Amino acid sequence: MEIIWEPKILLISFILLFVIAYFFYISGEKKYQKGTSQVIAYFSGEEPPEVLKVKNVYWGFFKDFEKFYKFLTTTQKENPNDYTFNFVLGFIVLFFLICLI
Amino acid sequence: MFNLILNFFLIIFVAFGGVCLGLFFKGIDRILSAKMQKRVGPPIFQPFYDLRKLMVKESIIPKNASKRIFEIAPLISLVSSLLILLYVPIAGKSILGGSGDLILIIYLFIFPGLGLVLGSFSSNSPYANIGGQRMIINMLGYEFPLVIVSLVPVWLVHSNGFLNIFSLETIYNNNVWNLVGPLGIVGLSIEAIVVFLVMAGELSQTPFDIETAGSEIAGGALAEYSGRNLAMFYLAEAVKVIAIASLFNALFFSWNIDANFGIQLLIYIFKLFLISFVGLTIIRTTTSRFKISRLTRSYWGYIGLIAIVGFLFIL
Repeated sequence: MEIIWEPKILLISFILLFVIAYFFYISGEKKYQKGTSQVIAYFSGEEPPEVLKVKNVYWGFFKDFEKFYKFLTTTQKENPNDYTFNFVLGFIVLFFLICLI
Repeated sequence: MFNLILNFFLIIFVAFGGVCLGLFFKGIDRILSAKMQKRVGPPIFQPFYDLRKLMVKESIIPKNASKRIFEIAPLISLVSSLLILLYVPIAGKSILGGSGDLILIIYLFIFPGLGLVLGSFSSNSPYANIGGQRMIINMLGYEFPLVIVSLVPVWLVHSNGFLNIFSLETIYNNNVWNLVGPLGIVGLSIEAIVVFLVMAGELSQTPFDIETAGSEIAGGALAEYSGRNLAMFYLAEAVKVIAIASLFNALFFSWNIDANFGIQLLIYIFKLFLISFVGLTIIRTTTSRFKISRLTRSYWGYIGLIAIVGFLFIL
């Protein structure tokens, strides 16, 4: 049986499942005590920041590959030629790897 | 028309069955984990009681949270987990198998995690924020070995001249262990080990549970969730166990016997139980949490390398 991706079927199934899940969801308790200390975000007893901005999303990733990124930054001195050289070098390595396989 | 109605009811049946089976497996997992630690453990139906309790509790929305996203993220997580169940073979047959393949399923596996990330960032909580960041790192990590182990069966069915190599039903009906020699069996055994490690990561279980780390960041991504919103994430997690176990069952453990669908379904459930027991219960009970700065290195370095070595044995 040949497989053809069917976005319509995917979308219809998603909507159908969403409706089922939503009906189950609304059967749950929706009330809570607005305006009380209940709604203050937990921050180990400290006052949480009023508005929190998402930053350093990839912190763990960069921390993990710190040495690699340090090496990369030493090879690139904000000169476009460095980027082009790295791109061509990467392309050559990949080309030979693919040819070998 | 008849097919349409049949598929409609099948989708509802699979969704309901997936939720119940997922919660039931959760109960078994908790009992077995307790037995391994010489504890009595909760009753087998404890996850069902937990769900009922969550549904009657208050669903608190934190101050300054993005209300709409905060509420819709758990639903996205649950619905996308259920959607995967429609594409993976259940006892050899998948409802929507003809309209999506392995690549689509790998894409779909991103959405439950993405729901969690959306929810955590929208809750305006420092702990949830850190949890969301960690979830992204986790997702970046396990995708690499997941793709490699998924390509192994594809490569095998391709090199044996089968058509529709990305079809899960093709892979399921041609057991990969019958397509390789002695060296290939070594390679597939290595890949099977990687499969269980990826499964633990995909399910955010110890040692890869950095985003919800209770003792460090107070539940992390789920820190601000309660009531029916938390219940949806709870269900999504249960369904995801069935979805990922079904995927790996189709890819690597497709042994079956010639029998009617009922018996095949029982064998399928038993295999899912075995896969979840190794990939979930044993790993989470016997290991402790990785440091966040070691996680990606473990996935991309060690686990990814093991997966590539296994692949080389098969080539």
